[in-house]
Amino acid sequence: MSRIATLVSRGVRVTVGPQAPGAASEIPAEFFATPEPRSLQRSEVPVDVAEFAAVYEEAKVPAPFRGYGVDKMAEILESTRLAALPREVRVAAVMASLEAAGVSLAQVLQDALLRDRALDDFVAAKEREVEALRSRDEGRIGALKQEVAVFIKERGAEIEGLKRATDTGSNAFAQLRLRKKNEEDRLRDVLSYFVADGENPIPRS
Amino acid sequence: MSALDSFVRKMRKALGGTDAPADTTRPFEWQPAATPGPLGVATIREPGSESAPASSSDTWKRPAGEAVSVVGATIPADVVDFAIVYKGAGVAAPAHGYGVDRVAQMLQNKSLSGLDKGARASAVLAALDAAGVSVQEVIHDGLLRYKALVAFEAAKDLETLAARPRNERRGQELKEAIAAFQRKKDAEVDALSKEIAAAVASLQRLKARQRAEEDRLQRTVSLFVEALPARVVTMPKPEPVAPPETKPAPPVGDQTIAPTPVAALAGEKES
Repeated sequence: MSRIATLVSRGVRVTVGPQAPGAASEIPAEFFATPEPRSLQRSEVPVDVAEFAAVYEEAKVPAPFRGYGVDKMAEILESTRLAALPREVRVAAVMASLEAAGVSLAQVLQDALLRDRALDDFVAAKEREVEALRSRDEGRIGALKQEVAVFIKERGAEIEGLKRATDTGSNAFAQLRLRKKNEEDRLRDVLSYFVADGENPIPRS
Repeated sequence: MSALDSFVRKMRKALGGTDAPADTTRPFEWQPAATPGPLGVATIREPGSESAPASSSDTWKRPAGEAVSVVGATIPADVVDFAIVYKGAGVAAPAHGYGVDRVAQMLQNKSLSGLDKGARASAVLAALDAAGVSVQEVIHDGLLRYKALVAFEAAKDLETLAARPRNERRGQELKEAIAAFQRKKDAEVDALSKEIAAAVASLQRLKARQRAEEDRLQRTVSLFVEALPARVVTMPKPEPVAPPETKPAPPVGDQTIAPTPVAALAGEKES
């Protein structure tokens, strides 16, 4: 719940006076019981929007009655003309302005509430968007890591196979040389019965 | 020589089935008709003499390439039996069966076991002579086998020499492929991680701005209004014994400050 919504949830008491004749000293919670705006599933407004005016516009927050919304009130309060004056005087100036414009304090509060809610919805929508993006990207990262692991495993197995083949080939050849020597010795030995040593066609290995 | 005579007889019997010399006995020739032309000179040792050559001949010498057809491409280096190599090289035992292997068996015959080398050679030569087999053919058979072995070894040496750099090259290619694949995927992972981080950071900034905006709104309105205190509702005490027709008492305390009728403000809303 937004801060303004919390403030008005039980109704509010007007703390400034004197007010316009007939103005209520309290504003009940029911006054602010507007239907909850439809939850914003996705906002077209970028997260880093420069001004929240675009957010309020997207949320269809109505323009303040006669231009006197919470922003106008803040603008009057922060006016340089009133900057040096005490708080009570500035507040009184605002109240005088509202009265002159025929706008009630309740209407200003209503405007603040709608803007606060719109902002809340906007942030909530952006949170959902970020969460969806995080979920999607983390899934993709997991898949990529899996791809890399499989690729490395397959190629690693091939590399190991090649190393093994090389080693096996070398060992087999070394064994072959040994066995060939024995066979040559055998053949030479047989022929040595019939030919002189230097004439043996099979050289001594 | 009685032992020799006995051995020769046994051999003849084993080979020809009779003690009598076979009719096919041929004179000893140093250059068998089946063998190709001479390439070199060799001295056949006279039986009984360790050093004196019996004759000079080079019939067992063959062109170097003759038995080198093996190359052994399809025969593994760890071939169980060299007979496979000889067969692959086209080296077959002579038709009469007296190849170097047969002669080796004859030389190792137990009948000759007590004799010296020269005596055994004489015995075998006699047996060969009786069978009409030239010792040159035996020598030729031995030489062919030797050449087949040399060719086989050379082929396997070449294979091994060729396989090592080929395998190393392929291994290097695979390592490079792994590195490239990993770089590419790491870049993708990095980009995605950055995207998440950027989104989270943007959201954090938005939340900070939201707090600031809420503070601003709160600051503004709190100058004019304050929240009404929580409504306290006093619950009725339960009746110990309630007759069936007794209805519960209505709430007795409502300390909420009486709110302004909504209807009064509704006009403002509508306006």
